[in-house]
Amino acid sequence: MKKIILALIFVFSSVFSANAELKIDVVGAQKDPIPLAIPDFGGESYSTRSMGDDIRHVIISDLERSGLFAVINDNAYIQELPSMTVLPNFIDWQAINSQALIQAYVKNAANDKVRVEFRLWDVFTSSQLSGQAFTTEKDNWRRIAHIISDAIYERITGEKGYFDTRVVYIAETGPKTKKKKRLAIMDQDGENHKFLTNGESLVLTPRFSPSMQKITYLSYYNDNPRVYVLDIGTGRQEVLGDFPGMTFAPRFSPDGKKVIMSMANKGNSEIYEMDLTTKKPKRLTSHPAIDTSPSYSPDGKKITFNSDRGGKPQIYVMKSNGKNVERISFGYGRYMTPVWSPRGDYIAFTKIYKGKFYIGVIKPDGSGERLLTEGYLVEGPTWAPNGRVLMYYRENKPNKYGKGGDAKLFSIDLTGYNERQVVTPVEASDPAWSPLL
Amino acid sequence: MKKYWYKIPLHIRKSLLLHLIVTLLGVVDLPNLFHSKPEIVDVPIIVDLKNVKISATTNLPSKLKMVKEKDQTSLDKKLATKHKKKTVKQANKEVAKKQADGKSSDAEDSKIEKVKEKPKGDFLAQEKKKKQTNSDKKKKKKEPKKEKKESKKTPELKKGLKSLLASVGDISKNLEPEKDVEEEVEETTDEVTKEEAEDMQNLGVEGGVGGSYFRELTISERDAIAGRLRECWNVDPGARGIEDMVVEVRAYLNKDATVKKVDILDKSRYKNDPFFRSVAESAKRAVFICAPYSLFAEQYSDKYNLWKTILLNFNPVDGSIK
Repeated sequence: MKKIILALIFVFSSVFSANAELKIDVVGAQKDPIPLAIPDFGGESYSTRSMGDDIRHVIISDLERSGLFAVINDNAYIQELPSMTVLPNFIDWQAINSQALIQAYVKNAANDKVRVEFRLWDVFTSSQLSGQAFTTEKDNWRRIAHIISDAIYERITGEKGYFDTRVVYIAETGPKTKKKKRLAIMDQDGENHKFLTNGESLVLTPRFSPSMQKITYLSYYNDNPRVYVLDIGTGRQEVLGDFPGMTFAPRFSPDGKKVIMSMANKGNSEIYEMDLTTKKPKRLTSHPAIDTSPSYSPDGKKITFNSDRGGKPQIYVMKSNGKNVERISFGYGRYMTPVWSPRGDYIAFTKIYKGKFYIGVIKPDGSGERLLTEGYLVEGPTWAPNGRVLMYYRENKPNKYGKGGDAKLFSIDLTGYNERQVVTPVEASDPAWSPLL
Repeated sequence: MKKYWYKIPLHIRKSLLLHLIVTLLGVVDLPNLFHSKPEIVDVPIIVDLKNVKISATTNLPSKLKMVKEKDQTSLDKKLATKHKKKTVKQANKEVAKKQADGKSSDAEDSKIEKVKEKPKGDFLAQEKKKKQTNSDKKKKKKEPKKEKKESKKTPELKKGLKSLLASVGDISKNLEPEKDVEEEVEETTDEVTKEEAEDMQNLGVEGGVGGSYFRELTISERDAIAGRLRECWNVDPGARGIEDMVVEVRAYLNKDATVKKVDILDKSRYKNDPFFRSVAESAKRAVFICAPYSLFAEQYSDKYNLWKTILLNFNPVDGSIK
């Protein structure tokens, strides 16, 4: 007891009561398409009104085809909006549960042009989301429609649109054993179809430049497979140098200044990169296995490719200088034709497993593998410029008479929903999506 | 021990003792020295279960307390005049006895015998008197009388409770919220004020109208609102970064439970991230689409402050979207 404790410590703690505001957690949401209303467009004359009608139909089909929007039937509309000067009565549009409202007006402009004004309204918050006007030649009305669709799509989803784009593909005609393959181009909705080559020489693997209206492809001219670059604007075509071996699977770099491809030499194929200005090839891989189908990441810093160095073809990712090679796919079956998404978050691929073909996506770190579609033959995935939609071609198993095995183009949403056929005048394979025009 | 203790200087001893006391108080908790004696509850309010509305949560009405107090004071007065020092039980018995005998000066007396007399004093009695004017109910009234007479033989406590039960039962009969009755009350009673009548009407059964005097939103009610918002909220499951997109919004509601405005809280992300903007706007839209929130307007109309603003946390991923 000699030592006496003289001090006692009290600890006071004050508890402040938390803010008593009512708090509610909402977890989960609907995945349904967003309902929106597109009433008839106004116009100052009969001709502009009829053009407005055409534009309206293209916009409706664009938005509906995306699978993200459901345009409410005209019959449900309580109100008409022939004028842009009058504010819509939002109650009427709320009544039919339309979340967005599109209003447009077409009028003549100077030099035989037309001016299209449009507004996008948020019906429930009664506010304008977007309002723009475009002036163009009358023949160009289809592009105006696609541009408006893109503006609506971008404003509502936050993602860039992909409607004002084109697709090149291999148009196939003739019997199965001796097919004539021509390069063809069309709008993403199948309109404005055009053949680019005459079909005298075999054309394969067309690829769009991500930044320019140029296509690179493989063509057998005089039985020599060569990589060509075609400028769609000028129609000029050039060969990408002469290589000792066979070159194939070309693809542009994101800035359009380089082309990456695989080149087979003495039974071994490696990946090469070529600067389009200097035309000097640079070897990136060095492995006795087959390395092919290279594709750049959108920032140009990485390359994904296909290699059987692990025994079976699998997907690999490496730095754009050829270093740090990493395998990312480890599933059953064979993985081929990896394509890096323009938005960077996924790599699309073709997979063959137990005699079936699949189109799938995988994250660049190897996680999140998902198969989007399957079939007797599904091949050649290509990304829409916003990285949201994939296009590919599909062939069904022909019957015993050899019929029904036509190649057709299809598009599918990244989520695996909304698979749709892209109608082409002839059989179609190997599509390549253009950047936004 | 003592030796050591006295070796310590006095002031330190004092200090030690004081500290010890304070510590003990801290540990044991301060006794409430000023606590008033618990008041004795004279009349337990017994409510016929048939007349009690059953709701999901407790809704003890505040007005019940008031009535209790009134009853108590009136009883106290009565008791004070006759038996000042009687215990609660005795008081109960007394009241019950009086009621049963029909001898007491007020309530029961006038109820049974003097139909035409103007009511005085007790409201219950007046109510009963009114009933008597209806010839149909006369028979019914006589029956409890008989019972009461019989109950004389039973122990006194039981008697008292029975009579109380009967009287409370009668009250509850009168609690049917009919406007006609209310008007009658005003006409026939001189001494009973309108307020008192309302208080009585609120007793026990209807006092919990809205049931919101004490309660907050229940979990099931929150779930109901969240579930509804989930139905109203349309999200693009393929949007980039949807997995970690959580949108916090503050909704400002009007008194009729419609939406005044909705603020998206993460303003900088709203400005810079178009994907977030899209999801946030869809969440904002959902709040408008789901309006009005009738649950608030109907169940919590008197608690506007509770739901004037609501913090809503929207998370699109519930596993199914992934």
